Amino acid sequence: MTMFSVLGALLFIACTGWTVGAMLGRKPGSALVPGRRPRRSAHRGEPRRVDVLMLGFSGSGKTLMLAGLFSRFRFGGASGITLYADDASERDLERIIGRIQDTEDGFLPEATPPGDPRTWSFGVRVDVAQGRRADAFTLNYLDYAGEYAAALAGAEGETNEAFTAALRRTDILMGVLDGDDVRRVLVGDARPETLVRIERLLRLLVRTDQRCVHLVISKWDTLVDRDGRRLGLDEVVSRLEQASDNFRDFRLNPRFSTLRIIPVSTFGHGFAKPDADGRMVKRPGAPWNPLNVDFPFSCAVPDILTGDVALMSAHRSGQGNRTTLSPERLAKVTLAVLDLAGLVLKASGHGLLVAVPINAIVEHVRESLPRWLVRQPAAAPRFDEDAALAKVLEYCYARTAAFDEQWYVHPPVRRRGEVSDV
Amino acid sequence: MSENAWPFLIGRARNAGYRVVVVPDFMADAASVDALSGAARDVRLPADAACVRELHGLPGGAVLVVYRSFTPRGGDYGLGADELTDGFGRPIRVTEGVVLRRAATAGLPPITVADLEQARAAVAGPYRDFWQQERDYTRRVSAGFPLGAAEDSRPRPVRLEKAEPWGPVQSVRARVDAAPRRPTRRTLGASAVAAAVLITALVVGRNLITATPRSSPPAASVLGDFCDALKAGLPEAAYGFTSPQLRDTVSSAAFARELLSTAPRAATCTYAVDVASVTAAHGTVTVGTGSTPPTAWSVSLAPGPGASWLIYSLTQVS
Repeated sequence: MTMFSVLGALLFIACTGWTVGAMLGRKPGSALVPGRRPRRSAHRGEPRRVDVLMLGFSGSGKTLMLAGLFSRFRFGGASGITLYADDASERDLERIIGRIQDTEDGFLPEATPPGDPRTWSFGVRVDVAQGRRADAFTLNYLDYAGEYAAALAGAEGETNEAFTAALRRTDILMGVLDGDDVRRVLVGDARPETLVRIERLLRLLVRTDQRCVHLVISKWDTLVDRDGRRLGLDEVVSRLEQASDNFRDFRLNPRFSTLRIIPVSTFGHGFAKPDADGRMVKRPGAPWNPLNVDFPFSCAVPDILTGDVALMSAHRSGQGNRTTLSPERLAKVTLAVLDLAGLVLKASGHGLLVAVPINAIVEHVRESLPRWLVRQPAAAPRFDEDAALAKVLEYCYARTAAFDEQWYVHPPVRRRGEVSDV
Repeated sequence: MSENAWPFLIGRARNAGYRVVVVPDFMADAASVDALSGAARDVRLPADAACVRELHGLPGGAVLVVYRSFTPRGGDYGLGADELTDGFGRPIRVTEGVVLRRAATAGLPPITVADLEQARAAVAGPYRDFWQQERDYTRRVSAGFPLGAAEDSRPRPVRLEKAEPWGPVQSVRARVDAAPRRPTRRTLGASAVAAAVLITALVVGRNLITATPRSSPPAASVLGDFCDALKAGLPEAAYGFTSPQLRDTVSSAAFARELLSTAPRAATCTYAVDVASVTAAHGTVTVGTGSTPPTAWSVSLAPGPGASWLIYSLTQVS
C-alpha cells in the first residue's frame, strides 16, 4: 500500500507540474492564462468589453431603442463605425427594424417577457486603413423584462438575481424615463402612481455605484403640451422639478459627476402619433429618423474613462498623479485609451503613478487623439485595434460635445481647454 | 400510481406587468417563484412540443418544469375573441405548463397534449381574474393532478425539448462563500506537496471511500453549478469550483477573461461528464457567448478537500 501511495503522490506531482507548465507556456489552445504578466502589456490583445444597461420599466422603450441603436450603426457612415452581431441576433434585429419602418404595419415589439436577461453582443468594427478593419471593442446590451427593474424598485412582482447582478456590474447605466409618463405629469394628466414610478426609477439610479449615470427620456416625439407645441428639454426639466422635489434632488446630487439628460425618440418626430386611446399609430409613408438613439454607444468610452479618472482621483494619495488603485480596478478600455494617449502607468506597491496629474488625464487624451489619428494610417496591422478604438473615441467625443452644446448636461459642461477638477 | 403535475402560468394583464399568476402550492415561497419566473423563459416551439428544464437549488428540492409559450387570443381564457394586448398595444405572451417534483436524472415523464390542456383548464380561471383585477390580483397556488388522468382515447404525446438545467444565482454564491479561500502567496512547491499529501491520503483511504456512500454533490452537479455561474455572469462564482491548485496558477481575472472573453455572461453552457472512478472524472464544458462560436473545454475533476468535487484542469479543445 505504501508503494502505491508514493507512486500516486509522484504521479500527481508530475501531472500538476505538467498542467502548470502548460499554462505558463500559454500554448495555443492549451489552457487558462496565469494573471502574472506585466501590467503594461496586460491589456494588449485582450478583449475589450463595454456593458450597457438601460434601466427602465416595462413599456419605456428599451427594446425599441436597441433596434434604433443597431439601425444607426448598420451602414457605417462617414465614421466607418459599424455594429456586428451574430447571425441569429442580426436576423432578429433586422426583422424588428423592417417592421418598424413599414408604416403599413401596426407592429410594436412584444414586451420582453420574464426569464433570465438576454445579452446582445455587438462587435464595434471600424474601417481602419487600406481596407483593414478591426474591432475597437465588444458592446454588450442587456435586454430584460422591465418588471424586474420595477420589482427591484418596490413594485409587485418577481425579482431576478441575474438582472440584479448585471445592474451592479454594468459599465454604463442609463435610466430610462418613459416620455409618456413625463408628458402626463407635465400636462397634469398623470395618476399619482405615475410620479411614484418616475421617482422609483431615480431612486434605483441613486442606489447604484456607477459614477457615470445618464437619464434618457424616451418617446421624446410625444412630449407636446395640450396645444400640440413641442416641449424643450429645459422646459421639461424645470417643470419636472416643479412637480417633484425628488427629481430636483436627484439632479443636483453631487455623486453623479456628469449627468446628461438625453431626449430619445426611436420613432423620431412625425413618424407616429397617438390615437384616441393613446396608442402610437404610424403615419403612412412617413420617414423613420430616430433621434439620439446612438447615445448609449456614444457616451460609453468617454464615460468609462471619466468614471475611472474620477475613481483614481477619489483614491488619490500624496501628489496629484498618484493613486492607491490597482490597474485591475480600471476598465480594460480605460487602460487601452491611456496607452493610446501615451500615458504611462507605473505600478508600485501602493498603487499607480500616472505620467500627468490625474485631473488632466481626460484633457491629455483628447489633445493627443488627433496626433494619433494623423499617425495611424501608416501604423502596422498589429495596431489596428488601437486605431479602431481611436476612431471610435474621436467620434464619441465629437458626438457628446455636439450634444452638450445643444442639450442639457449637469453640471454645466466645460469647454475644451478648461481643466476639469474631478 | 401515476405521477402528479402542478400547473403554473406566467403572463401579464393590460396594465399589470408580467408576473407568475399561478404557482404550484409547494413553490409559493418567494425564492421558488423568482426561480420559476427566471427559468421558464419565453420559448417558440411547434404546437406539439414543449420545453423541459430542471431547476435545482430550490428550497423544496429539484423540480422539472415542462412549459410552452404562445401569443394568446381572448378566447383561450374566456376573455373575448380579440388578440390580447397590453396597454401599449403590444401583443402579450403567456407561458404555461406543469411542474413535476423530480430531478432530470429520474428521466423525462410522458406528457400528453391532454395533460397540458388539463393544466390550462386549471389556470384559465385565475388568469381571467388577473386580467380583470390587474394590480389587485393576488397570486394563486395550484394543486397537483395525476398525469394521464384525462380521458383521451388516443393520447398524443408532447415532444419535449430539453433545456439546460437552471440554478438560482444565490445558491451559486452561497457555495462560493463556503469554498476554501485562496491561500496567499503559496508556492508551487508547497501546493504540489500539499496535493501529494492529499492524494496519498486518498489512495490510502480508497477502500474506505468506496465503501462509504458519498453525500457530496456529484461531479455533474458541480459542472451544472459551474455553468449556471457562467450564465449568470458570475465568473468569480465559477472560479470557486476550481481546485486550490488551479487557483494558485490562474488568477480569477484571467479565468474570467478566458471563459467569458466576449460577453459578460455565457448565452449557452452545456456539459457532459464521465465519472471514471470515485477519485477521477473527466468531461467537457461548452461555453457560448452568442457572438462567437462556442468554445469547448476539456475538464478533469477530483474530489476536493471539502465536500464537493472540484475542477483540477480546464483545457481548451483546439
